[in-house]
Amino acid sequence: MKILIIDDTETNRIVLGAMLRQDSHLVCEATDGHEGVLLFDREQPDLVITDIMMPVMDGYQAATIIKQRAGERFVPVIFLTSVTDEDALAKCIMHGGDDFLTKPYSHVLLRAKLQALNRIRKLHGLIKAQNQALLAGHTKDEQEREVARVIFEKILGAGCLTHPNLTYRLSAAEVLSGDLLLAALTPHGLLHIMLGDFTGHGLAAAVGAVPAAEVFYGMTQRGFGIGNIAAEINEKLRRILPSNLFCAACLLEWDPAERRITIWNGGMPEGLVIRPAQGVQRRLLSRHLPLSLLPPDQFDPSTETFEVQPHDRVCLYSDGLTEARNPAGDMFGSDRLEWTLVLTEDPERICDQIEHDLMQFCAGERPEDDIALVQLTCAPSLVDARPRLPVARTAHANTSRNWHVELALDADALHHIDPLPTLMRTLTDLQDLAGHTHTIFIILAELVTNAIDHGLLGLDSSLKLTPEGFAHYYERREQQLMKLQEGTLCVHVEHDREAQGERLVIRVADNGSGFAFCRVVSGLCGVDTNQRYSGRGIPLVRSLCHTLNYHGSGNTVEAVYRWH
Amino acid sequence: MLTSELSPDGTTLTITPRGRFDFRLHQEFRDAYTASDARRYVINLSATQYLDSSTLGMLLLMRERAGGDHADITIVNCRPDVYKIFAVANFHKLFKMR
Repeated sequence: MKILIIDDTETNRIVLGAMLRQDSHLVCEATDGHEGVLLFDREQPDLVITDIMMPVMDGYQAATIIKQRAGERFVPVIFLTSVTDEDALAKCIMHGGDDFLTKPYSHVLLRAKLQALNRIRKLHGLIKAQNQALLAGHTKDEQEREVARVIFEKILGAGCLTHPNLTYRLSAAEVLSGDLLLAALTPHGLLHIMLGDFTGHGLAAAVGAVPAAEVFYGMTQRGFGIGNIAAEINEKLRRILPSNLFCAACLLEWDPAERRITIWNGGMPEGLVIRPAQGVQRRLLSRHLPLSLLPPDQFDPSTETFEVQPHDRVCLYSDGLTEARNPAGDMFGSDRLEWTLVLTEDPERICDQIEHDLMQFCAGERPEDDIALVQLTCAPSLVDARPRLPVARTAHANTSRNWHVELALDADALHHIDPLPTLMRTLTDLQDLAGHTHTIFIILAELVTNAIDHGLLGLDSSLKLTPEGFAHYYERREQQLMKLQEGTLCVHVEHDREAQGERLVIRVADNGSGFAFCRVVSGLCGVDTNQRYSGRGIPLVRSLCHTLNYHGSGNTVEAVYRWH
Repeated sequence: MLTSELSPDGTTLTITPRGRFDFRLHQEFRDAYTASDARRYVINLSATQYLDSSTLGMLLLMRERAGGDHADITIVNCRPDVYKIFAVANFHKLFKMR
């Protein structure tokens, strides 16, 4: 240790200094309190031994100042004095002293005191370091939680929770909620809702929300049903979550046109279908295990479907709501919730009302668990009022431009790329196809399929004459396509605006060696004359198009389609 | 991708193909109707984005399997442009359309 001795008597300093040096301490000496303080600042000793009575500044004053300057650092101060009256000794402690020893002192006793104080000094240093580490960790933790919260909110905001038919309330017990509420529309205008409740809350629970949301949005966008979505989320979570973490979830699909609701409930409280003036019409019971528990072969994606009337309301909630306790330990309970849900007819007010009732019940105490509630009003009028969804069509798309696109794929590209979705996306981006999307798809699909199947792969349609052959044909197609070494498929689509309307020219060419004649064979597509399972494609295209012509050896075909 | 659902009394099987309903689905589609003893079939096209001539072949195969002229198959939720395709192929004579 580095020890500062403050004493106005030189002999005292020499004797004490010698003893301390002998014990291999570093020693610095001051002759009065004032010099002692100056030396303390300069030398930053670990411990101070001071006399009381000194000229200029006494030991009490020096100790007080030294303790102040040491700040958070623990620098023990020992008073070494010839004063013996108790009041004077007590004053030493009051002025920040840690111990005292009266002269004449025993070297053994002083050594023991130094050892004890050194131990406390070291402990103090350790605690201080740990405290700092803890504080740094805590700050980092808080920052990370904040980042997670922002991510979490972005995930929730990515869907369409602002849909006019939805009202919801989410409140987290901690910074992060273990409850997850997602909503998104399918390409066909069906609304998907998922309310999930991860075991626990906080960061651990929120971690699972990211992959779950990703699967939910991705599959909804591609038009999958909720049973399939539940299966996929189950599998994804099962792979990544530790086995004690799982997600109770209720997935709902609302088809406004058909007035139909489809539901998959795994481990969530029963949802309610409430009809104005008639009360609860149906209970949406949990029929499955929560997500992430079952392996795919045991997972049950089956759903329930039922019809709803235009003013029916469907309510889903998490158990944090019904299990919220008041100070007396009673739970809010499903009866109380149902009562409020049935009596509050105005869908806009439902969340406020529930929150109000819950606050009143809990007597102002914050609920311990996350709380989530969502209500869907099945009124189609609200849907019509919704803002138009952003579609792939962009600002430059209009109905008057002339344009052409060309897509060429070689054998290798054909192994991986299905040209039809790419083409359809491009076409709908460029042009408002209005009610003609499907017809244009068929023309493209038939011509492209023909070019690949017969031109590049040389497949024979007569295979498709029997039911077994039909399946066999497509197996062969798959195999041969993957084995295809060379060949190119080229699709050219051209659009003109004519006085009479729109004109689309579709040209499909292949450089394969397949039989050309089977592509021009003039079959009939009607079932009266053609009872076979195939051979309908080209006649179908012919009936849909204005003109359909083959060129060259039959491996270039041009279709013209017109509309107003 | 498709979903199939048997009515509670086990007599009606509703098959709902999603997205592109074409030959890529033929195995799945066949599995769906061969796995059940349903007497009536409903093909729900509400979630179908596109179909083509291979779909027509698949529907004919199903019809034959379900009893040919005695088959009871209803196609529902058909959009106008899709209906046109069925009409061109005279499918409305073989299937009930709603």
